[in-house]
Amino acid sequence: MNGELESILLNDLKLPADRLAMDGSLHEAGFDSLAIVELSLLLGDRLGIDVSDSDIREAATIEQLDRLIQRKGDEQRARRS
Amino acid sequence: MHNPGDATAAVICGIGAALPSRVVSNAELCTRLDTTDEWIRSRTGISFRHVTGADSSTEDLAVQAAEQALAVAGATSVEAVVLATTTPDRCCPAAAPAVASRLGLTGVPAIDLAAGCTGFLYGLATAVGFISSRTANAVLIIGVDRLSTLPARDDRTTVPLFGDGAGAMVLRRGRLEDDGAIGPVVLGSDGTQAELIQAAHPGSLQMQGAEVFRHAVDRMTSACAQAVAAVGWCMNDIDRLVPHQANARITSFVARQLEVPDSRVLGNVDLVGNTGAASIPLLLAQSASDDRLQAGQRVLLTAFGAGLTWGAVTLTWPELAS
Repeated sequence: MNGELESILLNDLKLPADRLAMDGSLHEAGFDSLAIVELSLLLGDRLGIDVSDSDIREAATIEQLDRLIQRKGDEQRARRS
Repeated sequence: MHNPGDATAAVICGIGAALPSRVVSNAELCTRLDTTDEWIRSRTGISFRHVTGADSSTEDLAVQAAEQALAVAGATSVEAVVLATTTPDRCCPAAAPAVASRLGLTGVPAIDLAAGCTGFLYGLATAVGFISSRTANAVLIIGVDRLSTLPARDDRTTVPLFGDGAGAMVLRRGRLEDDGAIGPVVLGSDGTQAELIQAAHPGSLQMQGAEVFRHAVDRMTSACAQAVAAVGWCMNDIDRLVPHQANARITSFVARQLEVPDSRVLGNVDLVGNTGAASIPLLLAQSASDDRLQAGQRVLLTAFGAGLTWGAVTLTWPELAS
């Protein structure tokens, strides 16, 4: 997993490390509805990546969330350059 | 020698608060709502809230808090009353003249203002205006709400959030360099987002929690930065951040964005829930009485509420009579 994403999940959202499995769902990792908004805000502020709440909600697993953020970051960087 | 009439700052000289005696725990709510203590606490940080019964009104709470603030100020009278509420006992007339008369202040200018949970900060700006325009030398501001009346009785997502209460503050004419002087008041609104928090009448509240969270964080964070810059401080100067108490997750997110450490953030949402316009003066009064807030500390107040409305202001906490 992207180190910055891992840091946000563990240090900012305070999700328990032992529940953070790449093949586990966001719900299993401890996400609730507010955590999805918090993650969206933090991705924008910290990484400059715009990912909507609904996009995050559609990620079925932490691995898909990680890929989604990578893809959005690549797309948005390409658009800016 | 300064002529006192030349002083146009508004300076805090009294603070007070009132809560209804009935306390409703999460466990009690769980007996009638499809929710759990863990669900409520993890999403809101709230464990208890105070709720008025049929025998107590918005005006009763306002009078109780005001009497305490006037006693702390050592004042028997003020020259204007500003009352911020979204939940008055009746739509007409306003509560402020009635509250003023119950306090023995018949004849003074007295107005209500509605700015949701930002009402107290709008009230502060109004009081500063009364003083600088020489309408009054001393102003009583009351923030009071009975937000427990707004949600539908069986709405498990909003009922746990709200409690009832009042907070009051007395401001006197003074000088900008005095401890307790109100700094530049930053205020804002966005009516295009009115539907995020709305209630056509008591018992009909609708709230879009995720969007409210996003706007609350953005607006309070930027209002705080503006208020601190306007007074020439930096965020590291802030000894106490006093955010409107709506949800512990929002306040901790705002504090983290502002890089204000948790040890400098005051809160009471766990014990009182969201008390609307009462939230900030109630938290100030409780914190001053238990020494979490002390004279000389640099304080940053911030709020966000229905409207949308938001605001922030700085001050240095003054020495007050206990």
